[in-house]
Amino acid sequence: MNKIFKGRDPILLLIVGAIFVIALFSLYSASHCPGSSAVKNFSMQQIVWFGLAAIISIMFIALGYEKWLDYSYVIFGLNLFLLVLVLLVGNTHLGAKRWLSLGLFSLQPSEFCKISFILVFARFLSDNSGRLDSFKTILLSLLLCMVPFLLILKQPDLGTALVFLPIFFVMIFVAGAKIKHLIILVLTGSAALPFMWSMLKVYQRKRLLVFLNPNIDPLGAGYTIIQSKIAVGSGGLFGKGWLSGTQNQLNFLPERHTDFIFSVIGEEWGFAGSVILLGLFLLLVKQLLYIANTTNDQSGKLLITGIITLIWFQVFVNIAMTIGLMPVVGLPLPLVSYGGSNLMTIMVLISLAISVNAKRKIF
Amino acid sequence: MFNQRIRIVSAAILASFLVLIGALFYFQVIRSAYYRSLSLRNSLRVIPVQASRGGIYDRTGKVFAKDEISFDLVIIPQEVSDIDITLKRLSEITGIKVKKLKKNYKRNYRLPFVPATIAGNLKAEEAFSIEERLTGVGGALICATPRRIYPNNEIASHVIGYIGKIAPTELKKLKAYGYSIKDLVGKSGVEKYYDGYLQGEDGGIQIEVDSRSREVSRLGFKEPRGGKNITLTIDLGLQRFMSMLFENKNGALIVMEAKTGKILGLVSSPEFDPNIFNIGTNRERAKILTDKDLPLLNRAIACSYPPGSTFKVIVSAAGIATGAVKKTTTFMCKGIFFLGKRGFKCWKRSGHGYQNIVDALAHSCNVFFYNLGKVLGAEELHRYALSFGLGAITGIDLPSEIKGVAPGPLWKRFVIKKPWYEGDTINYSIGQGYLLVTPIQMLRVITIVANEGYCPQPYIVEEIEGRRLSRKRDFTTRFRHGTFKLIKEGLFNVVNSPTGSGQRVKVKDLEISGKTGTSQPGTKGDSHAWFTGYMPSDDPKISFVVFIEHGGSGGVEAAKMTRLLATYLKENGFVDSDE
Repeated sequence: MNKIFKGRDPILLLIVGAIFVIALFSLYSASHCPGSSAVKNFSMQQIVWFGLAAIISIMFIALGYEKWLDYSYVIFGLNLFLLVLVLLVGNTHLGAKRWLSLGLFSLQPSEFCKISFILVFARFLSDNSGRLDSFKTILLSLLLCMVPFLLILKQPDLGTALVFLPIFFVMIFVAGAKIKHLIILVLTGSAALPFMWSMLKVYQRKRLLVFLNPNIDPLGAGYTIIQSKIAVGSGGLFGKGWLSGTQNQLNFLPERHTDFIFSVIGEEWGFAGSVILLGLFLLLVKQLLYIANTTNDQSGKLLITGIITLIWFQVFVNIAMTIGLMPVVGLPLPLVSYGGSNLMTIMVLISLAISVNAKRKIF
Repeated sequence: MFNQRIRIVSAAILASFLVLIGALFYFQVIRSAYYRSLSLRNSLRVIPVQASRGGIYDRTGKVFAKDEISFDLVIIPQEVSDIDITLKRLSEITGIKVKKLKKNYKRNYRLPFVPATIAGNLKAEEAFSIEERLTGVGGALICATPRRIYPNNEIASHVIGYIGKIAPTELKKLKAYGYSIKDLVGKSGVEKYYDGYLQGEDGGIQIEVDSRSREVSRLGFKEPRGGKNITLTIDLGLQRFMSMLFENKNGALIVMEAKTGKILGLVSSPEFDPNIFNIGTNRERAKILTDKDLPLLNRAIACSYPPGSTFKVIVSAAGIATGAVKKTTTFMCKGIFFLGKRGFKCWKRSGHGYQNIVDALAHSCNVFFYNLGKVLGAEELHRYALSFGLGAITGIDLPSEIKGVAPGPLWKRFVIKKPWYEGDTINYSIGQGYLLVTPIQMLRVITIVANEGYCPQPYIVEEIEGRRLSRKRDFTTRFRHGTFKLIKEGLFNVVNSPTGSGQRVKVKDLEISGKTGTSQPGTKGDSHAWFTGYMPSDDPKISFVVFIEHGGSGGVEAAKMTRLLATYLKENGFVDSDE
């Protein structure tokens, strides 16, 4: 075991631990609501998830990322099959089909598709590294990305679907695709926007319109944005203190333990707390970048690029939507938002990065 | 290449984080005082502004359903410091007992900042006088909300339907489409079928108030958007008349334009008053829901019965189309028909003597059709029942239409798990046995005869906000030219021959064709009375079906009702020629 965690890994684990501790405090505060007694304690629940995720992560590290890359096509294929299955027989929750019920627990295949896509795409790009200057390869890789993207959009889960786009672009960019080709993709993509618009559900369109002008729906989606902005803004420099956020405690904020957990942090810990959390995420990214830079294995580099992009995109979009800079698309804050599937995904991805670091040859 | 591009990515990530930190600095440091003042308790208030639901009108624009403004006294929970004192004050102002106000408050409380109604449906003058005396009572105000009214009460209640609070199971399905828990949705009739059009979009005002709850500034306003108005094909006058015909009787009556499919009137009796579901008392609602006559059931489309002799029209068409009978083919009726040792009676004990198909239809001779049914066989009867649309819904734009049962040997084997006997075929040929139809299906059957082979899609809604709806295709069934000639002759004689079974229908200066039916219900009780027909006989403009549940004889009760209906239609110009 000692050999597995070497070099700078302890720092990586320390950062993850610190972020998770912040998460526990915020989740406790979000579920703490004076007056109403029957509230779930989200932080206890989340610790259980964390334990489960840790066990699975150790399995991933022990197997080694190369094994996962070897089987990535099979895993990806299976995952796509599950996505189709979800559309056919999945449980409908809040109007969207995202969950597969497996008796004791339910599974969210779109979450795990983030992992399997990063794996398969890293493998694909390193297998085809010599042919990346041909537009045909670019189109082939686009196909690889569009299949899960459209399946997840159909559920509908706009937030999760959107994650695939930056991962695709950053990974293919780092792999060495021609800038010209990428620009063509972006331009055709924008031409296809009206088509995408027609695929969105009514409530998703509403959210996008509300982003442009929250006042068109002050009772629904716009209400959340306005309240969340007030929560974060009223936090001030040092915040109102733990368990003292009025917006939070008075039940003004819907979904505050999941997608809007940052508004709890912003209100109770202020600008100082927000910057510390952002700093921790930046350190996390920096550690991952260090591993990517020092490893010699091309697929490992690409794998970590995908992981970094995913974490960065979720952090950025989540915080930006909390303060009204981005539309509410329903993306959780990595390691902080309540929920097992998302925590599991991030932990597994970080353990894959640790595995890359462990296998790197030091000269 | 690799590491160089990773460096570009990491620079971009760093930049994006700096943007976030900058934005947070703006919100949390520069604008902090502003947001802090907004976040103070009680400073934000959301006042929902309910959208009005679209109206429903008859074909000439008379009102069937519309929203009227009603005034409610509401409390905003988070602005009240001591609820008991406030309720006591309000009780003094309104003259309503504290206990009742408290009960309403508890029932309607949702969230601290959402107004809870404590006294609903106030009269306008009452509301204004209360509002004047509300100053000094923090957290209480008068809200104006639209409320559904049905000015004609029970008239056309099965067409219009009623509305009610959304049920949790429905909400699960509809949440993605923007419905919320407090919404009123259509529960039956046009209110349900066209709910998506009638439903408006609620608006709201979000205001900032000071500690004495005075408005300081307006943060957001969304105008409510009213639902769309719907114009029906129904004629209010005719509908009212049709309701009157059913006084103290249960059953259904549908009148349709034979060539267009426009439903001019549709009654299911007993009816109910849809107003009871939004402004009635619980006791009134309970009365409707527990009534053993099931007034909420739409007997015209959601209930099936044996068609009795009205089914003979289909047997005749089958006989002519397959060549089993011609005009000259006769069967002898001695008042009884033997299948082996078992006897099947004709309604006329003394028998009709020799009957051809025209006579048999006019007299509704059972023995003729027993013979014809036996010649055709169960499979043919089943095939022609299907080709006339039995066993399938008509697709009228009303919810919960059922398809009835068009049986056949295979069906019996699967559903009843018994073989088909020849006795079943004999019963089948006079519209008894396992066969079950809805009144609207029989309307389609008779319209196919009237139009000699097709029935337009029946429909209720003419226009939505001035725009016509596109219609599905007509129901057509292919027969050789001339197939219907003998049937039409028979149906003409039903009313106009001195020996016809439906002579009581006869109206001066109007030729009517049709078929009587007296069917034995599966359960105990009197037989059901049917009359299906069309008018005028030579160029049908109107087709109709009269059905009286346990109404006795089709040739008596249903025929009498048909005569009254036909007289009304003639006097009000429904059967005038277009010129």
